[in-house]
Amino acid sequence: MRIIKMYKKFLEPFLECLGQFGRLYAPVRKNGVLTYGPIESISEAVFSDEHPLIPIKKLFHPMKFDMFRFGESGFQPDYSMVEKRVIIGVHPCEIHSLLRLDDVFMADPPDPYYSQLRHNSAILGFSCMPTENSLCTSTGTDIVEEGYDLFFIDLDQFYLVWVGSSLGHDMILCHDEFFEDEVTHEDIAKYVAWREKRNLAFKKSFAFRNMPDLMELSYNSEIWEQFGKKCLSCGQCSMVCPTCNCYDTTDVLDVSNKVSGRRERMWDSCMFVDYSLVAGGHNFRATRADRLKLWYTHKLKTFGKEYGRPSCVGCGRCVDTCPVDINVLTVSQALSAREVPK
Amino acid sequence: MAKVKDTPVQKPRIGVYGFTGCAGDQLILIHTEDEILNLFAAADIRSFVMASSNPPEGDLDVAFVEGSISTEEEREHIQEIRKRAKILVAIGNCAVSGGPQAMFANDGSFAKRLRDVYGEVKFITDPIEAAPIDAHVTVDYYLPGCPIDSQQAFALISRLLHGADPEPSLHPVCHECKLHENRCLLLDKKLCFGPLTKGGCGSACPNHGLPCVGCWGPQADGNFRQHFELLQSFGLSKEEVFRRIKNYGGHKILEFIKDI
Repeated sequence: MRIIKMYKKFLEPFLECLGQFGRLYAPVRKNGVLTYGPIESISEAVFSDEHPLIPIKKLFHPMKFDMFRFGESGFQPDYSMVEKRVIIGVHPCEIHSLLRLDDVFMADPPDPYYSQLRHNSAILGFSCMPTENSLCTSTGTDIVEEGYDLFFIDLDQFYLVWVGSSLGHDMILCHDEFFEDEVTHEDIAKYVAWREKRNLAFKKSFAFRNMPDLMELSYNSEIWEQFGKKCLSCGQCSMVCPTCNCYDTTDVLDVSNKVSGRRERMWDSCMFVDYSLVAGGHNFRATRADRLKLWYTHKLKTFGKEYGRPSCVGCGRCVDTCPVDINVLTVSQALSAREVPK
Repeated sequence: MAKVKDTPVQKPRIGVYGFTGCAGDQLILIHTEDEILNLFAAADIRSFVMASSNPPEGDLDVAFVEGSISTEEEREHIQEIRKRAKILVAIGNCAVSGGPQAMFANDGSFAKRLRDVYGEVKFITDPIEAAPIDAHVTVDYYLPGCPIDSQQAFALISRLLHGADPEPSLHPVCHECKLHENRCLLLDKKLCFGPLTKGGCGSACPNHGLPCVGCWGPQADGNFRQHFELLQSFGLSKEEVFRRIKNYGGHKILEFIKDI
């Protein structure tokens, strides 16, 4: 791994020149909400500790799109959303979330939409300080070792830049003169101090590593019923969770023609009542308690069984978002203390 | 190689009718420039007073009905349409729930309200308490909304035209609201009915920072008791919350809030 140093004054001119590698995307402020979107100039990008409301998954697993048009002669996939992109300002938990999504979408056979979007996108990570509900030290996702082309760690006057791929290396070459290969003892001391300061800045934590066992032990717990009574089934937790990836497909027939139309794909959530509804009207998870139990069991235990590690990346969005305070913190506390917080 | 003969397929016969309401739902159908010509090409429009006068009134494959039933004459007319139509679709909040004119549904004050507003007059046709279409005849499908959403409407229409089952919409407004990346108004203690309300509007009001008023009608899976508790924790009275949800909830909301 190559680690180089860049003084802050060079950031903007350096990022501006990355347009040659693809369309620039970054967190931007829209109606007061932070959102990932295309930018015309670097000045629009918001580099902050705040997470965009909707995670980076939306750039790889689009919320709502037409997969293909179909007709009598077959179907034509629509890959028009694929473009070369450089995504700037991606926090560590977001990079981890993409690695989790890769487990799902890139497994054989890979999802053609996701994998094309992924292969055509460069990821430029940026360090951040924890916000009110950050839990990434609990989930071990506060440090990234892979999944980025460049990663910038902000040490006040300068950045230490991790070069994570040959594409990242090519990007550096576009303004080689901005970077220094010499990282001094003093720089390393600054890095260590920053790391310590960051570790001490976390306000909240949960027993992430205990969760798989606790989930197993709590399968028949009345705790789920109590949470079920509170849950509004609004589905916001799934929409804002960076690793929730379920979708539904609907065939929309053309008004003028019986055999042609389009297949629409749209984000879905296991919090909605029709998620586990099958032919004949049977519903495997009709009750809210069962739906909640599925969500948390999958997030904190079952995903790990299948892919090697649970899929919660500790971003804290569920804590920020749920109107009735059902989130990884309250659920894990309730399971540990055997009591639902008021 | 014998040539396959094209047999002319009879186009589905469609009628569009309006009862008590603002005609906004019929307007949505007409205003969908992208689809309206396709619809006229794919269907045999037998009756659509808004688009053409003097309709022939015969048998129909599908009748789309807008508005609430608010007079004796309308009650007779809807029964007559039901007899002629294989499939009947209620379109818009008035036809589905009774509309804002049904906000006092079944509270026993109809006769008094009628007198307060009209005094002692002789009506051309006797008024009855505004009610949704299914209070008088069987309804096969519902297109909620105030007004209906053209995409949702044409998704249902095209399925009906081609003999496929329409997909019911079972998700709350919050689903679309999050896809529009709006901050949840409940976090700011606003009186929003998103979680209790059927989706399909594309979260039109929250997209502009306005709370959902519930015009798509109750979403059967809504957690009404919990949501009302949450709204009361914002300092809103139970009466206020009830009054607001009845504005569009009409007859349909009653069963969901009767035990709260």
